[in-house]
Amino acid sequence: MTTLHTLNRSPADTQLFKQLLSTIRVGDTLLLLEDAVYYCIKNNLNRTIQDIEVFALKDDVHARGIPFEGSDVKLASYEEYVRLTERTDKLINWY
Amino acid sequence: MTIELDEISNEDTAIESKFDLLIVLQQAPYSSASANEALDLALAAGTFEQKVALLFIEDGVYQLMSEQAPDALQQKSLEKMINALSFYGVSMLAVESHSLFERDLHPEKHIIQGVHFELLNTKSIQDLYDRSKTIIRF
Repeated sequence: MTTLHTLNRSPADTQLFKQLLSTIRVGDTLLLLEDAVYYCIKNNLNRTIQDIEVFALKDDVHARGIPFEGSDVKLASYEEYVRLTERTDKLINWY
Repeated sequence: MTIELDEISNEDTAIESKFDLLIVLQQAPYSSASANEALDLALAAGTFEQKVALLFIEDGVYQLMSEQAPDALQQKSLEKMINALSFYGVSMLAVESHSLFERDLHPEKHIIQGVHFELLNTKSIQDLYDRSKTIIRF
């Protein structure tokens, strides 16, 4: 059983991120949306959640002027967002 | 026009400078209309010759990121609005330095260039609140 987790809130919402961390499992996928794309600036995301594939929605990243060089996070288009939902068994929204 | 702008920027450096309106921006842009509304108010108040200061704090500092390109979200770039603020008589743009630090943002690397921002610590922010007649938080 795999889950796609979508996160909408900025890194300032530490309570929400704590809840996500307690729920996410190896093999799950995390997709950063809206203000959550600011996690790409702090490059410690992959240390916090190892063995989780992390994507960020391309349009949201570009809109906010986030520098992306050297980031471990992958950019996803809306088409790839749809493919991620197909690839996993279920979806949880964190917002 | 040039002379007037110079006079205003000289006043900015005076620590005792008082403001009619302090607008506090504490939310990230684009996911809500909050940032746009705050900047609209700043432009309007500046046009009516109010002495306006802006304080970017917490997630509000994300509004200052350079290279914002919200075309795909069908929104206006805040970066352009922030660049225009001094032409509308907004006297001071202040940023809380700790909010930048917490978010791994470096003024030279991530923040809009060509606009002067005062970097303030917590103590100077208390002062700024004291020196402002009206405070509106967004």
